[in-house]
Amino acid sequence: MHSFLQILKKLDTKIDRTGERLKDRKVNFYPTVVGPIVFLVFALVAFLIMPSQVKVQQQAATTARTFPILLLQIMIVGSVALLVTEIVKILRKTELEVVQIELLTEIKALIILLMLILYAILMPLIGFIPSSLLFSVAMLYFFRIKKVSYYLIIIFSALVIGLIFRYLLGVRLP
Amino acid sequence: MDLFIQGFQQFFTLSSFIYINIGLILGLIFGAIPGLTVILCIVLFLPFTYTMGAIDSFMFLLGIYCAGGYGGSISAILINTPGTPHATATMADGYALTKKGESRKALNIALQASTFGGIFSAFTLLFFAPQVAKFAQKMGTPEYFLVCLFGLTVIAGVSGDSLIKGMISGAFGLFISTIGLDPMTGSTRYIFKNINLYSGFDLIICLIGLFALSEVLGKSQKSNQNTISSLDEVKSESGKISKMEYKRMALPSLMSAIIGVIIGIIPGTGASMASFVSYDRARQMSKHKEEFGKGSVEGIAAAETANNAVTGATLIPLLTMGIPGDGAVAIMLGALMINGLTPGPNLFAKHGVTMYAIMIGLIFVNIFMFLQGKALTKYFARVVSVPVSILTPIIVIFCFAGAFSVNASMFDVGVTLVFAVIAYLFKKLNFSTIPVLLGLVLGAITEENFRRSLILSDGSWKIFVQSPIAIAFLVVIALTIVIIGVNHIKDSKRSI
Repeated sequence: MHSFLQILKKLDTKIDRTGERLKDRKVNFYPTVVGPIVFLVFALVAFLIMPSQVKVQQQAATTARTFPILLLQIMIVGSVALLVTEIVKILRKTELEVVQIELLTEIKALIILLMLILYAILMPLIGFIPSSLLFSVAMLYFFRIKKVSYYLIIIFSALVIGLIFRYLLGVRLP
Repeated sequence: MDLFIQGFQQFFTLSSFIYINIGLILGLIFGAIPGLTVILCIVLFLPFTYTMGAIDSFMFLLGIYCAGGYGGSISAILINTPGTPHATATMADGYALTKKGESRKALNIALQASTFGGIFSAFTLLFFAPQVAKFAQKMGTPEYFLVCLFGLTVIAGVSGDSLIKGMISGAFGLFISTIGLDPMTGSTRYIFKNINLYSGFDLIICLIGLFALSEVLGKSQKSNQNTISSLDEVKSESGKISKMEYKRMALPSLMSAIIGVIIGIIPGTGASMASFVSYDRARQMSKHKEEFGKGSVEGIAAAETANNAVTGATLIPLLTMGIPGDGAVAIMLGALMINGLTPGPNLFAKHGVTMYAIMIGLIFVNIFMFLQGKALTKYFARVVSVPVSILTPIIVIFCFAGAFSVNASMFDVGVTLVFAVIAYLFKKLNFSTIPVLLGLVLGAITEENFRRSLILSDGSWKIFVQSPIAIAFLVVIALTIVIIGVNHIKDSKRSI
C-alpha cells in the first residue's frame, strides 16, 4: 500500500511537471480555412466512393443516390464559397481568423478520449459495473481529486446507475 | 371539444404526474449547474423514455425542458453564472439582488415569472396549435418538403456565425441520416458491408455522442470546480415580494409573455433571444430605468417570463408541422418518432387525442414547476456547488449505459464515441452541431417528401412552385436567407 502511494506521488509530480512545461505552448490554427477543406475532402471522398457504396438498380425519377448527391453538392458548393472568401481575404491582405490552440488542453482531451475508448473496450471484457468503477476512479484521478469522499460518491453512483439499468429498466448490460 | 376531453382523460393518470415531477427535478438540477445543459439532460435520459408511452415520455421531457429554463436562473442569481444561456439576461439584476442580501426574493420573482410565462405559453399552444394544424393538413409532399427546408434553413442561419457553415452542417446531418437501407428502393448506402449499419444510425446514439459525450471531451478546457453558493443565506431570508413590486412587474411580465410566444413560434430563435428582447423592452418601458442591471425586479420578471413563454410556443411548429424550434425540442421530436408518432401535418389528424393530452400536460408541468420551485429552491441552491469532476464520470456512465441499451450492442457505444469526436472537431472548426441534429431528426422525412414530390412530377422540379402554399414557403425561405445574411453582414461590420 505504502509503495503504491509512493508510485502515485511520483506520478503526480511527473504529471505536474509535464503540465507546467506544456502550459504555455500554443499552436496557431486557422479554422476558417481548415473547416471548409475538411468538409470539401469529406464530400469529395463520399462522391468518389458512391458508385461502390450506393448501388442503383433502375432508371427512375429518383434513386437512392438522388438525395445524397444533392447534399454532397451543397457541402461542396458551401465549402468552396467559404474557401473563396478566405482566398479573397488573403489577396486583399486582410487578416485571417486565427485561433490559438493550447497544446495542454488538446492533450487533455486526447487523454479523456483514450480513457473513453479503454472504458468501451473493457466493458464487454470485465462487465459494465467493474469497468464503470475503474473508469470513474481514473477520471477523478485525471481531475487530480484528492478527497476520498468524492471517490466514494462516484463508486456508489456507478453501482447505482448499473443497477438502475439492469433491474429497473431491464437492460442486460455486459 | 371531444378531443380535448379525451386528451385530458389520457393525460390525467398517476404515471403522467410522476414523470412530470421526475423530469422537473432533473431539469432544475441540470439547469442550475453551470456546464450542464438542458439538451444534455434530455439526451441522457432519453433512453429511459423507451419503456414509457408517448404521453408519459413527453411529460417527462417537457418537465426537463421547462424546469431547465427556470433552473438556469438559480445559478445566475446566486453565483453570477448562468446555468443556461437564456438566464444571462437574469444574471445582472438577479446577482445584484443577491449582493444586497435579497437572493430569495430574486429566486421567487424568477420562479413566479417563469411559471406565468410557461402557463401563458401553454394556453397559447392549446388554442393556436389546432388552428395551425388545420392549415398544415392542406399541405402535400412538395409543401412539406419546403417546410422541412424552411426549418433547416432557419436553424442553419441562426445556430452559428455563418449561414453557409450552418447549411454545410445541416447537409452533413442529413447525409448521415441517409446511411443504411434506402426505405424507398431497398438499396444500401454507405454501409461498408457492416451489418450494424443496415438500419442506419439510431438517432439517440448520435445524440448521446454529439451532445453528451462531446461535453465530456470539452471538460479538458473547463475548470473543475464551481463557486460555492451560500445556502444559509437563501434559507434565512423571507424573500417576500411587496404589492408595489407586483404592480411594477405586471405589465413587463405580460409584454414579455407575448414577446416570448411570438419569438418562440419562429423556429431557430429560442429563449435567449426572447429574454434579451423582453429585458430590453421592459427597460425602455420602465419608470425606473436606472435600476436595470442593479437589481431591478422588472428586469428579472421580464427575462424569466420570456424565456419560459418560449416553451409552449416552440411546440406549435413542432406538433403541427414537425419543425423543431430549437435543439432541445428537436430531440423531443425524436422521442415522438420513437413512439411511432411521425411528425408532420397529419399528426393532429391521426393522433389528436395524444396531442391534446400533451398540450394539457404542459399547463400542469408549469404548475408543478411552481410547486417544486417553491418547496425545493432553497435546496437546489446547493446543487450549483456540485463539482463538475464528480458529474463528468457519472455523465459518461449514463451515456455508455444509454447507448448500449438502445440495441444491446457494443457497436453503438463505438458510434457514440465517433460522434463525440465529430462534435469536438465541429466546435474546434467553429461549426455548430445544432444543424447536424436537425438534419438527423428531419433527414428521413425531408428525403421522403423530396423524392415523393419528384416521383409525382416525373422528375420535374417545377412541382415545388406549383401551389400557392409552396410558393409562399419559398418566398419565406428566400426572405429568411436574406434577413439572416443581412444580419450576419451587420454583425461582422460591427465587430470590425
